[in-house]
Amino acid sequence: MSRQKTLGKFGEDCAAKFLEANGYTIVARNFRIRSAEIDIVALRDGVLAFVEVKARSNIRHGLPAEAVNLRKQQKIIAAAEVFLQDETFCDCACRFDVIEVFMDGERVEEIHHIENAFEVTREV
Amino acid sequence: MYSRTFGAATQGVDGLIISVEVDSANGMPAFDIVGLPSTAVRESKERVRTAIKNSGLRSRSEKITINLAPASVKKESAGLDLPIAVGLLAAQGRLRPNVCEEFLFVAELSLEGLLRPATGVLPIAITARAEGFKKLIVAPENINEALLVDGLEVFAPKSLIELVDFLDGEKDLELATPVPVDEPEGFMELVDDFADVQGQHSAKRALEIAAAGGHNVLMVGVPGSGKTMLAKRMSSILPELTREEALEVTKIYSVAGKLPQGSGLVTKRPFQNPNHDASTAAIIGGGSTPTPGQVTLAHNGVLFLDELPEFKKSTLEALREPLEERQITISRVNGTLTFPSSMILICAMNPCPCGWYGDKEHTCRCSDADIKRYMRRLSGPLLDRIDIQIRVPRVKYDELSSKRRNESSAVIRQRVEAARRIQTQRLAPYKLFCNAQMTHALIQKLCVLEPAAENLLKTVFETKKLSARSYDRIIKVGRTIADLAGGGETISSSNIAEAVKFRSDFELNI
Repeated sequence: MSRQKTLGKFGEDCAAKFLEANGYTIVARNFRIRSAEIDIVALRDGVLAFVEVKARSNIRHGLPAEAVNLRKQQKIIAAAEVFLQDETFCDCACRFDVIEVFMDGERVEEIHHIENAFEVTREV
Repeated sequence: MYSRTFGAATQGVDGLIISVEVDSANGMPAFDIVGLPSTAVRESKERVRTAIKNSGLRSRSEKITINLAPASVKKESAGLDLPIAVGLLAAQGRLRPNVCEEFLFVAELSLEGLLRPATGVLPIAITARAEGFKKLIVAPENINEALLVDGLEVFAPKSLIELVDFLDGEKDLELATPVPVDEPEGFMELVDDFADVQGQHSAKRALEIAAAGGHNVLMVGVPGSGKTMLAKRMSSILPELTREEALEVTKIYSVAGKLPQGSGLVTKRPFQNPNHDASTAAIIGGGSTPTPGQVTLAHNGVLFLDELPEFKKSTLEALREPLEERQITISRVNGTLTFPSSMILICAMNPCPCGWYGDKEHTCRCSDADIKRYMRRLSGPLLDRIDIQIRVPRVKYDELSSKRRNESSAVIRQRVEAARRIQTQRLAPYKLFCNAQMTHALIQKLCVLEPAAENLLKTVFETKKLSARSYDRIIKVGRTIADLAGGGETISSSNIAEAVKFRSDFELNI
């Protein structure tokens, strides 16, 4: 496994623990459709959160959340639409979150949860 | 959940009530505004959300759809921020929907959650009353404007949260009362007065007649003879705006966003003085959604075109419709709108490119062809619409250095107002108020010439080969001169003689 992939996997584990500690139930992890993936799907108070996790060991290339650009957002939205086909969840309120995991070497320095980070936009 | 609130936009110089429908439901989080919003309205999404958040209120992230009805009209007003915000709070259960439907909301929102003034509040308030609204919510800066309309309860909360508390019934808002307008301090306004103009008696007389009868004027004269000075003093001798006229002017200023902040009724007659480089759209009005131009901003006032032949020919020709119809119809992709444009047109020009043609003491350097080319820029039909055409000669030294006090504008204005009163009485049954507005049929009916005057006009008509329109215009000016003289019902031959003098003078040189 490459260094980036290890870091990514580690970040997702940290984010999942963080969510559970904050009262969320993890509904799914790494939900994949053909072209896209949702890192974590979590549920709390009847609201479904589609969470994209970004881990960074330094911020030389910008903040982690900045990496979730419009293209990435659209992929997540497409995957979420498929996820919501499931009849258990089709009537849920939902939102899109980003969790930033800042690393200092092996140690987690900070976890930053951005609720409602983006939403569906239509081309004008 | 679904809710409905009412906001407003403007269309031409009229208000248009917009029904803002908000639906907020579970689903993929989104915020869509449909119903032909302009960019300013589409951007209200960001202002509304941030304002709600910074007011300490919460809006849930749901699938939010906002519809602005009627859907076929393009909505330009940022004043739709407030009805959208209130509608959203109602749709998400924060406010009681049935309470919100009683009000008309017109204000922009700041990110902080404060109410900002919107344009076009006066026409919107007029439409609101006509459509049966009782309560109007505006920003504090718009109070004076909204209160110009009787029979509306106006509330002006400072912020969104104040409004929400009021709609909840938790806190009361006082009915808005007129706000005193601060005059800028330490600023002496120099009023242009006719007393400052030395000499130029015939030009002054011409402007007095123009002001009395609402006639258009063309002044031709050498450089520095005082044409511009005279024109700028025109508004000082026009009668005070009536309340009705003032409302019309305020409406136009309000829609054009030219109303000084916090002010109410415009009480000064407009004086518009566009540069000769102005585009046709700037003068006549235009834009993909038509906005008023200079002719409309000069409504009930004066439009002054200095250096007339320097204006683009197409621009000048476009003036024909507003001059004749006293309104201008503009057709564009987004609709056809009619704006009022009842103004007095005052034009100034030199007699030739170098400026000295016809002056006794200077030599004109222009060739015949130069002068012809210069004059050709003014078409016959345009000149035909200008009732009074005069020459403004160079002022003599004795006149200029004279210490004699001239007649002040206030004195001239009294005569003008007296003449206008006579006209208003005569023309009231036809819903007109000055002689220049009379149609051919009305002239036949209301302007009785004495036999001597009739003979004189016949001679002039035949020798000068006047057009039918010129004939009407001479009688109209004659009517005004008679009104200024005290208003016998018939027009005397000396009245006609003076009217002819103001007319033929320039025509001979073309």
